Amino acid sequence: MAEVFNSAPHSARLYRAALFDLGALLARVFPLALLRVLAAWAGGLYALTHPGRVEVVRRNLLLLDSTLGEMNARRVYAEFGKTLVDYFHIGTRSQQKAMHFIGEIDGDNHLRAAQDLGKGALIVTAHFGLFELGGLLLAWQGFDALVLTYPEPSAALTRWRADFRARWKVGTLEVGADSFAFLQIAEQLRQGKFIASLIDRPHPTDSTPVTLPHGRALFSTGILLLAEHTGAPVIPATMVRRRDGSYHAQIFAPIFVTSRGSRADTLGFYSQQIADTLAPVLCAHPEQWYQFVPVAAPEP
Amino acid sequence: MAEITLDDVRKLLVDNCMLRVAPEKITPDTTLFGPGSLGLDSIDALQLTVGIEKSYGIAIKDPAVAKEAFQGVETLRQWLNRQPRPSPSA
Repeated sequence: MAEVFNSAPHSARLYRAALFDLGALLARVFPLALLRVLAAWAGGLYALTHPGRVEVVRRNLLLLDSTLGEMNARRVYAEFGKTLVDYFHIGTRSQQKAMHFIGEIDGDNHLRAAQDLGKGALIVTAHFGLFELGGLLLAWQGFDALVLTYPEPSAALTRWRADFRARWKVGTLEVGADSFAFLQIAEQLRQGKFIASLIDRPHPTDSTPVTLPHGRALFSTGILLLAEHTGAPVIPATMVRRRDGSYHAQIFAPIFVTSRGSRADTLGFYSQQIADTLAPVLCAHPEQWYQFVPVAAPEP
Repeated sequence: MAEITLDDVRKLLVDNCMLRVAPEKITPDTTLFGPGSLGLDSIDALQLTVGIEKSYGIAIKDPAVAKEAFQGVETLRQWLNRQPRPSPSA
């Protein structure tokens, strides 16, 4: 499906509820600036000791910019460390305090326009920046928001992250286990909900290649099928960390999916539209593309 | 109104789902989801509902209804035949 807000496939040893508990505890106790420095250092160290994983990231980055190399890929891990710190820090503060981290919002008029249509909306983004913060933004602005997620490595972690979002009044809908999850999503859209998901990771059976500036990647297509079926607009969005540590939310113009002949033609066309919308932001901040699995499409 | 046959259901599945078995191996007893089934997933379920609406004008909005109707090939065929269908001219 159009990918969901699930955890990156790091070592399953790192993706445990107990470690997330520890992260949240540290975020309550220690200053943000200190934790950011330590997390960046830890991310860099992880990259140094896991060259195979760094190579995957390097190959992904090459799709954006052919001059990016191993150092850039290592930097992704350092940035990811900082992003995790922000995630824990923001998630353990009130909605109001957390919203202070969003320093700039562009395009939220598209959200209001979508709400007026009454068909819900499908917010799509990449494994980029602090994408979870988008859920907070939606809830803060009064939208009934749901995040799609695949099951985490453990049920405990899935619950942990759902509870974490619930503090922000953002719901979680787990897909993958339930064969009728997409019908549930369609029903939620009919109720006017805003559903956020990730698109830049291929689904085993439902993916389509898109062209990025320096290569082709696979995007999952389930969200577009939902959009065509329900008439809900697809709204690309990004949440980029700026130099000052605050975040810039960019919400782009909605995309309305209508049939363009065959299903493959339709999915290919609109997936490319989404890729064309997101790619400039990814290219401007490649160090925040936390894409840890290979996404390059096979050559035709 | 013409009765929906096993071949009609087979065609519905072939046209809308990512099948992992040859269509001729689909029998009335074949189940759609879960172990030992056609192995459909949640996207197939969505596409099947879209296909049913396009082919027969029957809209399935409630996941619970879909769960009941999509238990197996024969269940689906019987369920489809029980639903009121809009006339072709409608």
